[in-house]
Amino acid sequence: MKWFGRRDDDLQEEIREHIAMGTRENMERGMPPEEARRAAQRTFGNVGVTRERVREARPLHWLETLWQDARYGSRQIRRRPMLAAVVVATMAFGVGLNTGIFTLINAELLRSGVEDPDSFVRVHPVYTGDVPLGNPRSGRVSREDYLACREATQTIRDLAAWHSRGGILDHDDTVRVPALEVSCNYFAVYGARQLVLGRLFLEEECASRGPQEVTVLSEGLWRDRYAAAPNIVGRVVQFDRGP
Amino acid sequence: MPGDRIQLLQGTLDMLILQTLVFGPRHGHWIATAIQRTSDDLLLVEHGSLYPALQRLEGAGLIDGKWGTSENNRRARYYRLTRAGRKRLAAETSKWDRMVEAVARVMRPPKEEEG
Repeated sequence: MKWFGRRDDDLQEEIREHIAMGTRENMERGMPPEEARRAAQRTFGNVGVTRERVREARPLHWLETLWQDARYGSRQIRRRPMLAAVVVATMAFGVGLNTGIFTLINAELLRSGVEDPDSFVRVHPVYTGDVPLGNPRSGRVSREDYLACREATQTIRDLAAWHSRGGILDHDDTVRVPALEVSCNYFAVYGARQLVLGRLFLEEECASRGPQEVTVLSEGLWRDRYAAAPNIVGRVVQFDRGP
Repeated sequence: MPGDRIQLLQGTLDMLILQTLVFGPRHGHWIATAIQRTSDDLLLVEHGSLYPALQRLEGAGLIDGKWGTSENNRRARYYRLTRAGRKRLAAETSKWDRMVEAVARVMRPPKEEEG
């Protein structure tokens, strides 16, 4: 295989001979020389187009054009260095902006607050057979099922449960606040340890199986509702008219 | 009667070129006139369109071009069918035969099948 094909002047000579042969044949048929040459050229078609097409048909044509483009590009840069500088600066700015925004979004939205996201899973129950609760894929687990799963699991280190419910804080508030009723290992499973104030659930509160009246407020709620009151710890928060 | 000439189907030119080289090395002008002559001037080949095809075939190793002397003592580039070229020609020929037969069956169904 000839990697770059033939040289252009080699092809030009071949085409010249081709047309000469046609001219000669036409003259043998009785045409005057000038007319014979024109007729042969007509039969051949456009020589420039043919040469271009042959160039395109070469095996490494793409490499050739790539090299040409690179040379043309560097020539343009040398001719207009200011324009090139502006283009480079624009592109650098664009790339930088993108990277910055991605970094921000990655940190704020995409990365979860979980300690070790790779080993964190969400368990969905799927019940088979007759389910009294209706939708077998509702994602709800009974308290007994959760405790049974937590006892029996071998692949999961710890299993936490939550139930989302909204409620009204204190007595006369009109805004419903989203809340979760959680199992007491909830924060431990999430790997949350640092609090602005107060404490998370205690061991002895976890030891008893009944519901405990301990509330953890989000920092946002603490600031909005209680004006970041430092004496919030120890106060009884009324939730849906219960403590 | 140039008006009655048929434009070549895409891809058939390569096959025709290979076919013209079966009986020995030929140059471009000979190939072009041979296709026109043996098709009773029905196939329209712009001679220039031959050369990109020749370049393609040579690049694929199906033909091999070498400069020689023509019958009128002029220089001409002669193209020879390589072993791979012969193999390709056989494959293309049988593919072409099957296609012609299939198209003919669709275009001219036998009378008794018309119902």
